[in-house]
Amino acid sequence: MPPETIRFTLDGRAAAITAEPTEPLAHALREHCGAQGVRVACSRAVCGACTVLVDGLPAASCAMFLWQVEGCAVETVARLKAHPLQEAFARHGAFQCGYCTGGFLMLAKALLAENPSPSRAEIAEYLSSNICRCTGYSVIIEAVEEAAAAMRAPA
Amino acid sequence: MFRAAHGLIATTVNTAPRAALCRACDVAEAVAALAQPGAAAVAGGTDLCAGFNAGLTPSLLVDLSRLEVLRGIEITTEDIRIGALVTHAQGSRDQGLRAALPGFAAAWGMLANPRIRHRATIGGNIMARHTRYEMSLLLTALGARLVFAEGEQTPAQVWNAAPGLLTHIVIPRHAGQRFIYMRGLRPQLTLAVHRHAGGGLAAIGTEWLHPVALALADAGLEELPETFADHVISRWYARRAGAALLARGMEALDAA
Ligand SMILES: Cc1cc2nc3c(=O)[nH]c(=O)nc-3n(C[C@H](O)[C@H](O)[C@H](O)COP(=O)(O)OP(=O)(O)OC[C@H]3O[C@@H](n4cnc5c(N)ncnc54)[C@H](O)[C@@H]3O)c2cc1C
Repeated sequence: MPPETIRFTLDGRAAAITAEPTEPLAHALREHCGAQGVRVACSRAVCGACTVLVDGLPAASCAMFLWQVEGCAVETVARLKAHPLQEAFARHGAFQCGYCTGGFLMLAKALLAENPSPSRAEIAEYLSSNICRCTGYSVIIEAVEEAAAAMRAPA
Repeated sequence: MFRAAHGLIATTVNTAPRAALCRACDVAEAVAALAQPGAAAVAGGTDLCAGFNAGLTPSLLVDLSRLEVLRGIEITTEDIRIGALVTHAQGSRDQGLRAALPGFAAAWGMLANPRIRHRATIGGNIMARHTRYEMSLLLTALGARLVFAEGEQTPAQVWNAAPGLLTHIVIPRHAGQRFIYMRGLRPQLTLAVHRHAGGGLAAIGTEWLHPVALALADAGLEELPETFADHVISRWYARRAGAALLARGMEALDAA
């Protein structure tokens, strides 16, 4: 397959990747855009480490092709610098090795966009598709609860 | 940039085969492309990409995303017509569907998880032809028809043959139609109940077996085929647990 130039926005900036359009999105983001916050573990959409937002909706970037984001807005964890979620995760120690953290943060961002006041059960249910093998999930859920409260608070 | 030598890292980083890409602009182009040897349709891509790890190596990927006729849900007094590209998130939240057949919309919303639901489609769920995917079971209970560019099939027929392009799913409407999906024992066993003024059907399935349609009157699941057993559950267990789920489902529909 000859390379093509696929244009989209990445973390708010115009991006263009010239590559085989059938490359997996996660691979393309890491290799061509240096988006190392996109982690690949299972490569079958099961673990959630590669979660990005595509036009605001969560997606497993290991199970998408590069061509599928043509003209879309792609967001990775790099977008969350100094975001209440990032700060809450740090405060709660909601990571150990950190491999899964980017995926959790992006999924949590999608949840709070959809539901700014989720209950603890709703957070657990929404995040249950992502896997963490060291921290345990309680601190992650607590961090999301705290970030949600911070984001609801008047500026 | 440091790159590990080939073979030092798992092939999980880029598992995509070197495939050509056809961005089909209309149904005829998609059908022609899918007729080529080694061609595979791409709807959400969520199952297909996982298939690459399992050794799937299509030589041509046929992108369906430009086929607008495969999108949307149309509801008439006769039937509910769902485009093959409708995602789980879109379908389960569709206001018309929620009004017409709320139990089915609710069941659709239970499939997979938020990362998958926004991309994965009803057509991909059926055509992946994995017994662990649940849409085929739901549609079996509903007596749905699968409309391919090449003709119609039932959900059961699709397990045995792989026709080309699935365009729509048609669910017949009935007076007093109600639906409930009992998923609490998944993956061992799930059961859907569909009841209406003229009758109805239940469907039972497991992670490993093709769904089977059952008469609602068969309270003890006596008609369950002798072969309905897998390496997790026996037929005896399927009958016991299935009968309990059927009774509970009927009760819930009475109460609704
Ligand atoms: C982590 C994970 C968890 C999941 N959990 C569940 C679950 O709990 N319950 C459940 O039911 N499902 C589950 N699924 C399956 C999911 O719901 C999707 O429906 C499925 O992955 C395929 O949808 P897709 O649109 O991405 O299809 P694709 O991956 O694009 O395609 C799947 C297959 O269907 C073919 N195909 C797609 N569309 C058409 C068409 N219109 N005509 C002809 N062929 C076509 C493709 O060629 C391919 O062979 C899960 C999937 C994943 C990855």
